[in-house]
Amino acid sequence: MDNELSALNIIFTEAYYWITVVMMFLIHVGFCVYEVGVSRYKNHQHTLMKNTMLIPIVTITFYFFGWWIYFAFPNGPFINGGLEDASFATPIAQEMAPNMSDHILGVFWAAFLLFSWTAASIVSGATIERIRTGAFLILAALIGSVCWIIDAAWGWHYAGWMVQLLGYHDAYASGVIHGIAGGFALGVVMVLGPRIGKFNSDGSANTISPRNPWMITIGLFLIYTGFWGFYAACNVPIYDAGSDYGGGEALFTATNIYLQPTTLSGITINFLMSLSGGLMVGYLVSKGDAFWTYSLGLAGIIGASCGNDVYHPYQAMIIAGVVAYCTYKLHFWVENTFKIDDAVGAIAVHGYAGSIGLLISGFVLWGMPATPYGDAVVTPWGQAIGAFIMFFVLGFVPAWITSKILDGMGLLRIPREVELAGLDILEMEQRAADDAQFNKAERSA
Amino acid sequence: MATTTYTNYESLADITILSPFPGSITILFIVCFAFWIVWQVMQINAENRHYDEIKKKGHNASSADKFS
Repeated sequence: MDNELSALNIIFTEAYYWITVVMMFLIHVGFCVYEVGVSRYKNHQHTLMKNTMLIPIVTITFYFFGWWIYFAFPNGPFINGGLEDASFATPIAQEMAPNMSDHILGVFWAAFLLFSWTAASIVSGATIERIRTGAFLILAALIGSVCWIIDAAWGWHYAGWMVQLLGYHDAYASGVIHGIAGGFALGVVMVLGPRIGKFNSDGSANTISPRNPWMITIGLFLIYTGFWGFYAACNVPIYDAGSDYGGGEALFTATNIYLQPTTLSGITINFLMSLSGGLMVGYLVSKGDAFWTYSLGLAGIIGASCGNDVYHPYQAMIIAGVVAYCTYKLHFWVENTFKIDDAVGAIAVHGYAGSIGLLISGFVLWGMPATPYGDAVVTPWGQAIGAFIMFFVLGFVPAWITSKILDGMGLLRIPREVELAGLDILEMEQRAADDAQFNKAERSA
Repeated sequence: MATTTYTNYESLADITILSPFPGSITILFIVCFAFWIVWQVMQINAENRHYDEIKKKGHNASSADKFS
């Protein structure tokens, strides 16, 4: 940085990503509040700690190997080329520490890390009240630091083989985060099984009412808020696209993750319009139920996200509404047909909504360039194959296999007696004893 | 004695890595990676003990009712 203009550009970019990280932290706060609101009183502490402890586990594993995967795996490897040189992103790279020669890598790493937390936290919600914390943390490291970042290298990188060969376009991660996390959660839940009492012997489902519906709505509001940071973090704020690929003369613009031009202004409109479409349809289809109205507002954003860099706001709103409707219907159809206990609707709101949004985008964006660095264009089949890879190949399959292994070792599900008594029963007992001792001391003082 | 590669800022342009002991990164990585593995094992063992205690005390589905 030897002149003020380049310094301003670099330090603005550094600060830009730093702010997105702080905002995205709210997503995790929201998930924690939400899960505690959904879980029953006897499971609150363990539910909270399970979701909290994914933070350090995913953070350190993402530092150890996740970040390197993103830069090393765009070609597969061996689908469209070999391993890329990513020595700057290894856990022993000098660039991965305070370093005067690089101002961006660390904040960019953190932005991606927060996506990793989100992916793992989505799985956390679906598995509450019956998964062992130890098993969950192994699964969290798998999705947060391996599976999702492989899909990001494949489909969320300008040189990713899915972008170059399939024309895959997923600007704000309908499939890259939400599709894969939903598929992963489904793979775990299928092995884990439903909570005791969720289904009757005749197969009918019981509703396990949330302990505190108002905490859930506050949690989802926080997730909405953090989502602003997520959208901003998916952009490159200033890029000379003109000199790079746009005709040779300098033309600075914001770009999406593929370095295609977009505007922060445009995605702001589309975020709000897709939220509105999801909320409006969610309110109608759920008959004003707060849990589902909020959840389907989120599903609307997630469904439109893959194309929200270029959609017209009306398109974003309509697509969000369609996605919200399909997500709601699909959730209950899957629950009743396959006896899947999706405790917080995470598989539906993230997995189904993201995948349906990708399928729709293939038709709406048909023929649009998928990358500035090649001839690939968006097609319905490219997006459909992409959705399948995200949800099933990189999400469901590794989760199902790992869960089977953990289950075989007796490490996946909590014992039946513990599930019935409640994960927090010993802590509740201890608190009651502490209170009794204090009250006795207070009275005798 | 200095743990950093710089002891002043007279040649700022030559300063890159700021952290102390820059030659020890590989060893630190091994230590931290091993800590992660050991932590996972310790967590699983502690969790097993927790569940064993609940089972040993004979708690059942109505145990939590008196605390809620």
